[in-house]
Amino acid sequence: MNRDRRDRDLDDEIQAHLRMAARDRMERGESAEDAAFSARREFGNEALVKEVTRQMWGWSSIEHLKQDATYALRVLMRDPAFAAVSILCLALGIGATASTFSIGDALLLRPLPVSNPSEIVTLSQSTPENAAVSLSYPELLDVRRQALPDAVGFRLSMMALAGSADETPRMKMGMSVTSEFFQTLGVTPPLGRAFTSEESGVSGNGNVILLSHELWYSDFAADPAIAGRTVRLNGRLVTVVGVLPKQFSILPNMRPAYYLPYSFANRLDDRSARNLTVKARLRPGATVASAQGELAALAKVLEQQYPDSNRAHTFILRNEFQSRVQQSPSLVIVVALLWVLAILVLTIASANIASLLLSRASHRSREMAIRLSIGAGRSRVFRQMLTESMVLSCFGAAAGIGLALASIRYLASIQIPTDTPIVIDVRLDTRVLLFTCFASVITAFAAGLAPAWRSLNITIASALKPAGMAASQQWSMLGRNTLVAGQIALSLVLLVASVALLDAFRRMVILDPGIRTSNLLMVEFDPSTIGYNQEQTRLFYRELRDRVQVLPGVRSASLSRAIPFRPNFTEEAVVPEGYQFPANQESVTISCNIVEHGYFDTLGVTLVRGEAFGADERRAVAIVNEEFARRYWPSQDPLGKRFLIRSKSLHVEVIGVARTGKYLSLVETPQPYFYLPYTQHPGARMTLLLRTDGPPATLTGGVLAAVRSLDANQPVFNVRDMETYFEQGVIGLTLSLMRVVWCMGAAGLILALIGIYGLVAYSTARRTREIGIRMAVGAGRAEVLWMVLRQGFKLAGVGTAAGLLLAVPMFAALSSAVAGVGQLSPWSIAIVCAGLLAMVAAAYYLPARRAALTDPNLALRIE
Amino acid sequence: MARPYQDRIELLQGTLDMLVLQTLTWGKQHGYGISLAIRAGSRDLLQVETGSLYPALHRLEKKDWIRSEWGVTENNQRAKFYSLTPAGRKQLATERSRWTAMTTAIGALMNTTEEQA
Repeated sequence: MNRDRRDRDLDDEIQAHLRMAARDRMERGESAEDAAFSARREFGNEALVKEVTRQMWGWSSIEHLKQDATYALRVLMRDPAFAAVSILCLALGIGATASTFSIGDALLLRPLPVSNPSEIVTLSQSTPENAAVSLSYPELLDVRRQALPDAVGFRLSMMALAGSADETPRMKMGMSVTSEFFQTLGVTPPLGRAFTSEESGVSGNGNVILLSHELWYSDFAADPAIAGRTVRLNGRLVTVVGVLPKQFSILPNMRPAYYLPYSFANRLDDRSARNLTVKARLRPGATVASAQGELAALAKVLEQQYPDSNRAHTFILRNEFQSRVQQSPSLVIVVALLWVLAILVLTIASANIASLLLSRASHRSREMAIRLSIGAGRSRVFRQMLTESMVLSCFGAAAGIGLALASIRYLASIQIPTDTPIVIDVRLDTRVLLFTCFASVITAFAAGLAPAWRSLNITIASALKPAGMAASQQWSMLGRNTLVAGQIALSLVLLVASVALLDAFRRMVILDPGIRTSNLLMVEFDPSTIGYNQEQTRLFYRELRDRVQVLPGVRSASLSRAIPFRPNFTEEAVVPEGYQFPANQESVTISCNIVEHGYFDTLGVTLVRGEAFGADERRAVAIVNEEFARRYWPSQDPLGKRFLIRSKSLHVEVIGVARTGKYLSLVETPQPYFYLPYTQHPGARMTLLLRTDGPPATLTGGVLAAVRSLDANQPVFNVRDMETYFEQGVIGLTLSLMRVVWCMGAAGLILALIGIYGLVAYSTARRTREIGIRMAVGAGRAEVLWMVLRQGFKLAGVGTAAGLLLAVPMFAALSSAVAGVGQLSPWSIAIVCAGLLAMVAAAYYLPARRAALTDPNLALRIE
Repeated sequence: MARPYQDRIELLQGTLDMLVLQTLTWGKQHGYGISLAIRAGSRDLLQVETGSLYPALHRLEKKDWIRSEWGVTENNQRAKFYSLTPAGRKQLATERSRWTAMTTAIGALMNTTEEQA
């Protein structure tokens, strides 16, 4: 029988008793009202009886909880201002935490969208010079035969895709996969089918393609009859066999637009073409250790069989998390930093709530005393207060999740317009929600513990006395002051961290990329997509450059294989002469570019020594950058030195040294780099770079006309100017990050200000009587103002000092973690402190002003 | 000695329980009737506080020593009637023997003290 029924039952029982007692009295001669009244009086305190009887039934903890929660709700509704402010604080704290967690989740924690993701491991090779080397196709076959039968490989590749023959092809990034890729992962295309083994097998065959859901939706209008249609990829006809599930990707931060069999554009017999990333599913019963053992044996066998390519190569298995961390350790650091910031914000929010709750607890000490005096146990009151903060946290969590949803939607909408389809799939899924609930519970406890603890120590007598500075209240003032000082300290730390990060980002953004970014036009070509052979391609490019060079407004033009800040997949194993390699290492892998002679001039790369390539360079030469020379020929003259390019079995001589620039990312440490002349290493896909006098866009028409005059069918890709490309693609991500950090810092500051304001308002309100007395005995308004402000400044001073103490080690940790965070400049600290103090003063201003304007008469009358 | 206040309550509780169980040996009865019966049965010496009676009744019911059901009085009023359970009967016997033992012991003590005095 549930509680409500029992309540009604008890009520009926007691009413029956009263009726019978009254009846008896009436029989003895009393009047009806007298009888009823006397019966009631004789019965005693009906409510108390009911209460004690109810206790006999015993309480289940759920009933306790329901009761406490209802009461907590009523209490909150009585004070809507407090509720609103607390919920806002919590929303900010929990929202920040949830958002950053979802970013970290998307990048690091979320398991692969495949079946049984925990069984998937990543396989790579390791050499003494490189911790993660990919596999070649023959090596993958070896692994499948000997150790991991369910291993599959993939590689990213950029190709030109056209829906039909007369459509201009567009460069899209796709993924080539080996046989059984989708079957092993357990991914079934909702439309069509995956590749068959025949299609994935023999080289050159397999003209089939799978589209990503997003590509199918955007470029093919979600055609339900897509299976069977043919499209052109790099000029070749391929048949669409299916569409993959929504948002599918095996990489945490990129989403390829299409998938091909590996055999489509790759040789299957080149043992040294190490371009496959390999994932494998462990068979049930197999462990990482056992697989690792078999792989070690295989590595030894391969070392003996193929000493040239497999010397000192071992296999390494990593689980998904480990491989993500290994791929981009800087990502982990960024995520960790964001989390630290978010936790700081959450801590400040909790401190706020705790402080506000404490203030209210003082207000409510009378209520507590009354409850204690009518018999509520102290543990009961304790539980009640904790429940109140839990209810508050629930609302705050709900609001926080709403905030997180909004910010996640905003984050997801940030399109990073790079050529690589970077997609960070930020989502509010179960894990994030669970985490948010967990964070809310922790916050509730943290915030609610202090006032609940305090309630345990209320002595009834002192609480029921009129307002005054009793000893217990002085302690609570100390507690609150500590909270506020603590908040100021934490805010300072948060601000210093934010300022440091923002400063680092800003410096990143204005970092010299080492190239000219303004007045530069880029146009990409790939004549192989319309079937040009090597000679035709060479001719085409020469003609093109000649025609473009004489266009009005063009200062210089040059061809280049690679564009800065875009992965260009061109690395070479080189052996610099005279360099002492560490044991077991025979070469170094260095990125390079193939350029025409006008490249350095066009792009604004300074040659610090030597000369550029000739217009028709026939010598076997190369130009290295300063870092290359520094690393491999330290304090020697690099001019005249030679190095071997292993893949081409070519020795080249250094004829020039270029200034070290940034090649892949603005925040990279100095990388070695070298350039080879185009005349000797021609390629199909090249970018034409034009240095212009005026705005680059004005030259577009002329360039396109020149191309059309050579071959009307020649596709043109990615016509754009370097400035926009640089600002959006390279800096865009950094700017977005800056925005996030900015928001956190601002959120933390707002929270701290709210906390301070609330506390000050409360404490000055409590001192109204004291202020009234002072004014009555002659204190002027200015004196009162100063009295209030003085306390504030004392607190702010303590808080700032504590914050500075905390900030120093934190800053040290920050600068060691994030490249680009320089020295702790005293200027920035001074500005932060001054700003904080100014804001604190502002927070104090309003209540102080109100205090100074009190009418002494009113103040003295307030109890 | 450490908790005299609570001991007193226990004694009273136990005693009241016993009286209620005893009253119910004469058939089922409602709360008002039980209070009247105790008063009458003790020749108006013992007055049961209703504040203790109802809690006691519900406590006894929780322990399954008595059970309740709604019924109708002679005056056609609805009331909740309580009756003894077999377990209650057994408990009453236990309480009675304990009570006897205690009063004997106290009586013995009082007599010796008087003699000594």
